[in-house]
Amino acid sequence: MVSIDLHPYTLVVSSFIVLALRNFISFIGKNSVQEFVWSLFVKFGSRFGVSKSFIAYSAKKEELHKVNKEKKAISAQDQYAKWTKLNRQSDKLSAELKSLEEVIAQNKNSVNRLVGLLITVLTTVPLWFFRIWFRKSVLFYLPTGVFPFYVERVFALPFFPSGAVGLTVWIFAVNSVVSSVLFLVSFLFETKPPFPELKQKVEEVKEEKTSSKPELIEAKTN
Amino acid sequence: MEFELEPTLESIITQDTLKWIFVGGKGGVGKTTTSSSIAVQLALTHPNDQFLLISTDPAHNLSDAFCQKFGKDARKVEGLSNLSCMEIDPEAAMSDLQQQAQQYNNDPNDPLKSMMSDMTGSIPGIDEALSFMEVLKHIKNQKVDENDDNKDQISYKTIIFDTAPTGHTLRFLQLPSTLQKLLGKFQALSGKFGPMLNMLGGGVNQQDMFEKLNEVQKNVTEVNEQFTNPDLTTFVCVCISEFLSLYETERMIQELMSYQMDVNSIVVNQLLFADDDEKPCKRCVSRWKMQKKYLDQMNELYEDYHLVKMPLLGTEIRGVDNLKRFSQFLLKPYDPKVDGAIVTEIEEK
Repeated sequence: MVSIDLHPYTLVVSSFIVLALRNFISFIGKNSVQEFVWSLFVKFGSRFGVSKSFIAYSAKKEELHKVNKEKKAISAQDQYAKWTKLNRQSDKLSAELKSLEEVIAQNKNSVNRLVGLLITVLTTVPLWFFRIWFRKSVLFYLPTGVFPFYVERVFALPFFPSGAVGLTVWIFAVNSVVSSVLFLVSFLFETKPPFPELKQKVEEVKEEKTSSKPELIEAKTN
Repeated sequence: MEFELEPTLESIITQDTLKWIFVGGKGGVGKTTTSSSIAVQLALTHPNDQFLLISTDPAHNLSDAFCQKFGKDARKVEGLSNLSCMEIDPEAAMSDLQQQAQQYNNDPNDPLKSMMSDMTGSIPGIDEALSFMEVLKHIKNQKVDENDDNKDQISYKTIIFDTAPTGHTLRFLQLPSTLQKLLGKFQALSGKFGPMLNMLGGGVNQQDMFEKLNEVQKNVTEVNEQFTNPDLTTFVCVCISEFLSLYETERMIQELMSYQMDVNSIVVNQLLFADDDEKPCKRCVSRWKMQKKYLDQMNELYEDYHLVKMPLLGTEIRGVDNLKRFSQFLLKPYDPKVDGAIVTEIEEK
């Protein structure tokens, strides 16, 4: 049987870090992380020869642009042969671009999958491991006499002696603190959502109504 | 250019292996005249072989071109004993097929009942494929019938297709792999769910269905092999020397090449050749100038094609004799100085 012996404080700190990371990722969104990694891949991948298809793609795209520009510059009827040759070239390039796009989409898919897997490995797996492996280890003891006994009992959930704090309560506490902090920070930078402008619509309707009912109003005033 | 292909269809006419010749182009460029001319020349060059000219155009003009009524069954051309013609409406063949499918299957609760029409409606190219299969089957039947009648084997050496301008008659060539995949799926499905459907009361009918599909698949593969073989099949593009016609021809050639079909001849019809007219008419001269402009462009663009230039005559070309006279220019390039008389000599019928 393998036994992993961690100092309780190592456990406290590492679970805190993992939880903070997890909260942070869920705050900014898994998709944006994936997009960010993808943009890094696009930017730096070519340096290591990973994303050759991008270089080809952008080169082809530029070429297509050039060909199309040239094609537009000449009259199809006056220089039919030249125009048709350009047309053939542009058709060929478009087809190549399409196939490259497919390759790139596949690349992106695999990068996204990898990032998703990495996020899971970094944030979910360690927590489960801690929860199972250290389910019986006490992280730290509360100083006696600070809290009343019923609070201590709650902190000792699910089955620790009074005054001890286990992983369950610690995770719960860290989660709530981190999410509160994130909320507080984001609250400062939050912009007000634009108020939906109903005014105009109402006015439009009013106009229509008034224009359709002038006789009625006149009749009433009379 | 050191190397230039001769501007005639000689290679097609004299090539012995060809089994299928397709003639295609947009409407009004002289497809029927060209296909009839090719057929006539083939028949004249190989008097011992039988040839069949088929029009799949719903607006049939073969009857008009030969001044003789043709129908669904092959009929010999009067005055040219080794050429037969027939006019088939592929749509009609298709609806026949669907009716057949319904006959197979008249149980209103059968889940596979509407399969045929659904399938033909949902996959691009498959209705063309099926209707083409019907046409081919019809041709095959034709042979069998003649065998029975004449007691000696008559098989057509070459079959010339006058294709419809609108239909992408050959579009199904684009999808052989898709079709095969799909039919393979159907087969697998029939293996898996066939017994279950039987239990549900589908009966033996869908077995027939799947057999029919398998047959279609086999035919598609066979036909594709034949049509992509340049020794057996070739395509003759017909156009006139005008921008849109050239543009459409270019698109057609690209499409055909994407089907891996052999295209090496373009017939340019309705040329005026107004250079050496005795009394030049202004309109002809200027129009001929325009036609020459496009001809030059074509020469540049289609270097490795046989570019056949055919003159515009005074009247419609109808009747076997006129076709014989006109079609010689497919083999011997038209020279306005020597052959100019034909423009006015063709008699109206």
